[in-house]
Parts: sequence; C-alpha cells; structure tokens
Amino acid sequence: MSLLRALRFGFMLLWFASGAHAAGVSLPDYERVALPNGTVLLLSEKHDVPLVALKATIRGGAITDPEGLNGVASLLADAMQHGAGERDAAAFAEAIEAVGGKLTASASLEGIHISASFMSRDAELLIELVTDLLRRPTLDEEAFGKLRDRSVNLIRAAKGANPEALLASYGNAFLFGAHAYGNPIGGSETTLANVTHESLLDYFERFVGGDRLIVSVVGDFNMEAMKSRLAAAFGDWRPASGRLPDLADPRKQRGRKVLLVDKPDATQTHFWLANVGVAASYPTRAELDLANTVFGGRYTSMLNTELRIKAGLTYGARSSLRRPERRGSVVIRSFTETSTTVDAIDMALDVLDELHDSGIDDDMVLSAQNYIMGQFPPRLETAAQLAAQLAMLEQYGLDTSYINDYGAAIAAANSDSIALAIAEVYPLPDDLVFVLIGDASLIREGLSQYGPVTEMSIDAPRFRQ
Amino acid sequence: MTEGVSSAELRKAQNIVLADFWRALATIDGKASALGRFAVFTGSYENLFSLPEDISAITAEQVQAVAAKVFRRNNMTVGVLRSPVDATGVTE
Repeated sequence: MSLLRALRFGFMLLWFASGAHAAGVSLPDYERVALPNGTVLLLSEKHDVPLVALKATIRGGAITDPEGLNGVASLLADAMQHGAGERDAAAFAEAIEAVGGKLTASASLEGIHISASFMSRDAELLIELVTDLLRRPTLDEEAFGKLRDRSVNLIRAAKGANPEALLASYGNAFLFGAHAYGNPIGGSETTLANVTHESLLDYFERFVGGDRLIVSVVGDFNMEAMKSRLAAAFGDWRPASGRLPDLADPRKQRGRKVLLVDKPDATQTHFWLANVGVAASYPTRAELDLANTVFGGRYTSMLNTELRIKAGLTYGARSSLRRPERRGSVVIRSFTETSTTVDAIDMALDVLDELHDSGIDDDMVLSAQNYIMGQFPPRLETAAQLAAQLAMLEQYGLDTSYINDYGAAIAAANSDSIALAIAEVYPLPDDLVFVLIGDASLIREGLSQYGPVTEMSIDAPRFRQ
Repeated sequence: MTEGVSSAELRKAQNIVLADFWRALATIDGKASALGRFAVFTGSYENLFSLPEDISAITAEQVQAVAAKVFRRNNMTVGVLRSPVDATGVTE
C-alpha cells in the first residue's frame, strides 16, 4: 500500500470512528465534592478557551414562594444583583462589566440560578462576586421597591401588548390548581403587592442557604486551587431555616375543563391545551423527545404542518414538555385569528388523535433521530452549557447516563418504543385542560362544546381563578 | 469626544471585546465563522490568532482616531419615533 493510500485509509478509519462517536456526547470528567454544610461543588477543567463558567443553583425557587407571596423568589433573584458585599448596585455592575464578565440571576420553578462567565484571569473576582451575591446581598429597601413595581408593570404591559407571555401562568394555575407547580414564577399583580421588604428578607433567611446550594464550575482553572477556593467561600455558609417542600405528584386531569381569559380588544386567540406529564427522571426520555419532535417540537412537526403550513391558521403551533422534580406538563399551544379559534383548536385535537392512532412511522423516526442528534451535541459544547448541565443533573438526582447514554437511546428507539411513550405521556383529547386568552364575547359560545367554561377578565390582578 | 478616552474606559472596552471574542470561539460554529470572517475581511484567517494581542495593543489615541472617522454627522442616520401624545398630554 502506498503511503498516500495508507494515509487515505487511515483518514477513512478515523472518519468512521468519529462518525460512530457522533452518535452521542459524553460529559467531561468532573469532580463532585459535598461540603459538610450540604453545599455540593461540581468541577471540571476545560482549557480550550481562557474562560471560566459558573452555574450556582439554590434548590427551591417558585415552589417555595410562601402562600400569597408568589414571585418572591424571582424578586429576590433580581434584588440580589443590585448590590452585595461592599458594593452598591452600580459598583457591583461595574465590577462585572469592567472585566468583560457576565453574571445574571433568575428564579425558575424549582431554583434560583446564578449564571456567570468570566475570563479565567478574573476567576477570583468571579467567585468573590458570586459569594457576595449569595451570602451578603444588600437587598436595599428602595431598590427592592423599584424592582417590585417594575415586575407589576411588566405583567400589566404583557396583558396589554403580549398576552402570550402570560398564557403559561394562567395555564399552570388552572392545570395544577393548588399544587405548587401552579405558582406563577414571576408572581401576579396581587401577590407582588403582598411582598414587602420584610417578607423578602424573611424569604432569604428561610429559603437561601448553604444546605441547598449547588455550585458548578467548568473552564480554564486549576482543579485543586478552585476546589479549596470554593470550599472556603461556601463551606461555612449557614443552612436555610425553612424546609424544602416534599411535593406530591400532581394529579392528571380527567375529562375536560376550559378557562377563558377575556381580553375584549383581542384580535386573536392564544390557546394552551395541556395535561399533567412526566418528571425529569422519566426513564424513556429519548422516545419521548423523539415523539415530541415529530408531534410539535420543530417547524415541520405534525402540529405546525397542519395548523400553519397547510391550513394557514397560525404562524406557529408547538408542543412542549415541562419536566421538573415531580410530574410536570405536556402542552400544545398556538394562536389564531379570533374567528378561527374553534377551527384551530379542533385541528390541534385531530392531530393529537392522529398521534395516538397512527403513531410515528419509520421514516419520521429516522428524521427525528437525525434532527435531535444534529442539535444535541452543540448544546453541550461550551463551559457555560456544561456547567448548567452538571448542576441540573445534581439538582434532579440524575447520573451521567442521562447524557452519556442519550445518543445510543435515540439511535435505538423505534416506532414501537415511541408508541409506548406516546400512550403513557400524551393525554387523550378527552382529557385536557383548555386555556384561552381572547375576546370572550366572540368566542365564548364556541367553547362550551369542549367542557365547562370558567371565565375571568384579563384585568383581574391574578392568574388563579 | 473632546474629553478623550480614559485608560480605565479603554481597559474595560478591551476586556469586553476580548471576553466576547473567547466566548464566540468556544463553539465550533463560532470558530468556523471567525476563520471565515478573518479570511474575507482581513485577508488571512491567520490574523485571527493575533487578535488578543492586537486588542491589548490598541491605544486611546487610536480609538479616538477611529471615532473621529466613523462617528461623523455625515455618517448618521436618524430615526424619530414620535408618540401621538406630546409631552403636555395633548393628542396631535
């Protein structure tokens, strides 16, 4: 064999080898350190670019908002960025910006999250800022008042110009009822008005502390030095005094019910059809992701093809899965002109029927496999993405197989195994919660065919009925 | 503009550009895009590799010279979005 041919052959082998490898992504090696106070550190060195990414999660989030105080976790995440340690709000922001850093805090259903990305030469400053933000936030009363007013104004603005942004808040409240998964993460006008400076400080004391902290750091640093630096920063942090709630699984909706949120000037209807779905630990995730890709997860999905591409009733119809600690939701959502509200909903229900009746054929399975495997690797590419992924696995008690075996599970799925996931997870059209925002005077009548209709005004200062 | 660029402002801008540069290079998409951009706009993809040093070497005078060249009245496009309600609350 000539040298050239040998080289070519070698390249081909390499190409095939990497092709086979591309069927999956593996998490990098990382160290997990549990500090005596309960804080968990996750660390992985990654030296491709001189950056350090950090993701810190305080377990809790909106599910720990006290009764009547929905939005307090979210307000706290906001307020924490407005001054901490020795720095006031302006100095804190300047310290980040002066080194080209990024640092944000936000609340989700089950956590308060800090995401930061700094150049590795500024790693010390990064840790100082994050430690101050978590342990020594100023929580200035005046700044808090402004943030609370801004949150209220944002909800009011959305009610006027962007009601779509509030659909999930109405929907979750209607679907999950009194269960904490029905809490609006950003609060409502009513609950935000209840949040005082004192209740913010009280929440911080009760629900933020070292016992529920996960700090995930990936990037260009020295493992041992970073480990001891983070242990020194958080190892002596007090525990939060309040207990994390031990939530039960929400109950599935049997039969149908309808919530109509009346927005009298609306020219289109936004609708949200849902039922209780599955938790983060759902075992056949690959099958479920494939099903959702085909059903409503991409532009050429069944829902978007019927409602948008063929019928022209909307610019977008999607389905999504929310998978928290306990059972979350399966949601179909879209929007359409007021006069075609019933047509569009009926069509969405027909597509859901078809998903159950016909399942997904082999060609479509292959297409979805390719789609997911084309998008999955670039989601675990950067230090920031990996830090967030490691924190998520820790938060939900998942092991590395969640990522490392995913590609193989996607490849091994077939129409039969996907059909099982569909039957198990997707609601039948007869068991659905319907939530609509639109002009009630024009659509009210057509909705009674779907089930008992509850009506509320979009001007009501709350999301729960 | 007459006050010039302070060394702190310059340093901050250099840090922001440099950090964003590395963030962009953290993905294969960003690497490919940077190589292509440098090949097309600077004549060689190899110029990419000296960018961190090039950024650090920039002086306040150079920043001012570029600002004077680019931020001129004749280079300006101004859009005005007028509220139908003027400052006194009277609708036009």
